[in-house]
Amino acid sequence: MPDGADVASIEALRDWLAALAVYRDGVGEALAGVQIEIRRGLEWVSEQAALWQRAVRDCEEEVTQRKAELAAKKFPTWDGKMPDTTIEVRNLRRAQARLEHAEEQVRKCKSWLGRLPKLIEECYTLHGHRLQLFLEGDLARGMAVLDRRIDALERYAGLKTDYSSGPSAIPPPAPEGPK
Amino acid sequence: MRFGASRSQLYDAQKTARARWESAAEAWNDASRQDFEEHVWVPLDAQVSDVLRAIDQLSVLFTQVRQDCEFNP
Repeated sequence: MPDGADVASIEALRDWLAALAVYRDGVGEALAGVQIEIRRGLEWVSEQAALWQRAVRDCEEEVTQRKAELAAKKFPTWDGKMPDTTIEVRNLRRAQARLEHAEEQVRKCKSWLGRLPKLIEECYTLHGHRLQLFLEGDLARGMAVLDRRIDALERYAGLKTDYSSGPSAIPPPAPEGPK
Repeated sequence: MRFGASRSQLYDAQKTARARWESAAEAWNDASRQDFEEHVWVPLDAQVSDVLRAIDQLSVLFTQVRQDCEFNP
């Protein structure tokens, strides 16, 4: 690698710096988008848990009602025969099955709500956070160094006659989205 | 909990940036490029790839969550 500057096209470096700024902003937006979806996901599980909890209450009422219907049928008729309770028994079993299913769903939702934050942290948060820090630190510094180097090359090549330190050519970062 | 849009945005941005880097690197061949490549470009590209893989894992995780929790009485 040569010690001195070996740049065939200063314009290509300027283009690269501009492309890097676009890349930085795009990556930042994508990271913010992922954070929004994670938050939505957690809220969604809470909403499902509430819906299933309401379903449990509805099912409990239905079981109570079906038990009452069955109990009402267990008295002998006027001729001493026991009435057929097949339908009532079947209805009660179905209601009990629905109640068990809803209770199981509440347990599942609560289990996920308890485990999700740690699982998200393990599979994503560390990587996302590290990249965000890189964008704000190493990348920002690298772009500033590159910007100064391009300035120096332009002066050396006589492309830039103004030696005063003007505004940076690096486009400012896009407004930061929600994290 | 739909990560497709963000993943696509990140993937497309990386793909574009890689192509732009290839072009820039052809016109830039000195010690400062090597330094930039080593300390900025390569780590940035690797970390973006890590995040893409992490988003894929998030998608798998939330697909499982959706299957387990969706309210469908």
